[in-house]
Amino acid sequence: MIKTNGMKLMECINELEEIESIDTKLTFAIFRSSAYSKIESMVNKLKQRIEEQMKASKISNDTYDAKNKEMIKKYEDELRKIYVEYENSIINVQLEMQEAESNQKIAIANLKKINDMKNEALQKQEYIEQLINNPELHKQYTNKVDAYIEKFNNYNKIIDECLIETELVRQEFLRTLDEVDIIDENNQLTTKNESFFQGLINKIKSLFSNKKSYETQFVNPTEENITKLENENVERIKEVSRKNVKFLATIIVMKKKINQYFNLTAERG
Amino acid sequence: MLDDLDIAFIEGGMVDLKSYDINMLFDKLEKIRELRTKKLEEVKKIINDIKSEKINN
Repeated sequence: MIKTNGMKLMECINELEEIESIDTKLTFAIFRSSAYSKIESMVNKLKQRIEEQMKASKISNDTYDAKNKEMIKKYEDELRKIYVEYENSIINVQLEMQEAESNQKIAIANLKKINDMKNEALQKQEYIEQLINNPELHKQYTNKVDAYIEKFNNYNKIIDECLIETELVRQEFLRTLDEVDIIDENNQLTTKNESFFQGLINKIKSLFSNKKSYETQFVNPTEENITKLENENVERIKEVSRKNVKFLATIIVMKKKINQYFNLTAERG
Repeated sequence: MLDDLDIAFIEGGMVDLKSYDINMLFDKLEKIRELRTKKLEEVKKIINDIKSEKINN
């Protein structure tokens, strides 16, 4: 059986739908995978630092177990907040993209529909005569075809914008995590670069009060950093949301323009 | 806490993302995007055929 152009178009729509569905799944898998490894490595870095500092101050794990767990939990929670906000942004962008993909398919399906109607009409002699004697009718058909083609191309622009934005959001998320790394190299009981006198002072301090030095030189500054992160996250999350809304607004404007342009082209006399 | 991040619904089922290298996921995405571009080119070609059909008729 020879496939008509209409049949070929419908096949393409179905295949595109499958491709786009896999694209969405892979996009989220990549975001989640990069988020997982980054957050895991940051939390592990804190755990490792806790272990090192406890070892350096020669205190048992039991003494600060609850405190350490609390610090880790708070840190994870703050990193999680950032993750959730960026994931929301990606979900919103992907929803816009899916809508554009659907509208693009509707444009193709409508193009097929009017092409089928025209082909059907051309099977009948009276319609052929009608078309020949009525150039206006022919013009209307041509305008509609052009309008659907333009709609198809314009929705492609929205889809491309969404694809770019998704990757930009993912990269910005990873950069943000780098910026909020709370492990301060200065908050260590023993550092590789400490001066002889500093080292001596630290050793003397630890002799007198290991617990106190662990608390003052590590726990307190780390907790302060986590609290600072918590406070900064309020504004940071708002900013991520603002940026997302701004992007979505540009897409809404693009959609409006597509529809206005479509109406103008389709109704052009 | 991070347990729900290490899985994603890809290839028709839930998979452990730890067993997937991120570069492999990027490779898959690149291939699927290439396929999408090809498919869109195909659509454009058919659309152009339809457009020229109307002129011929």
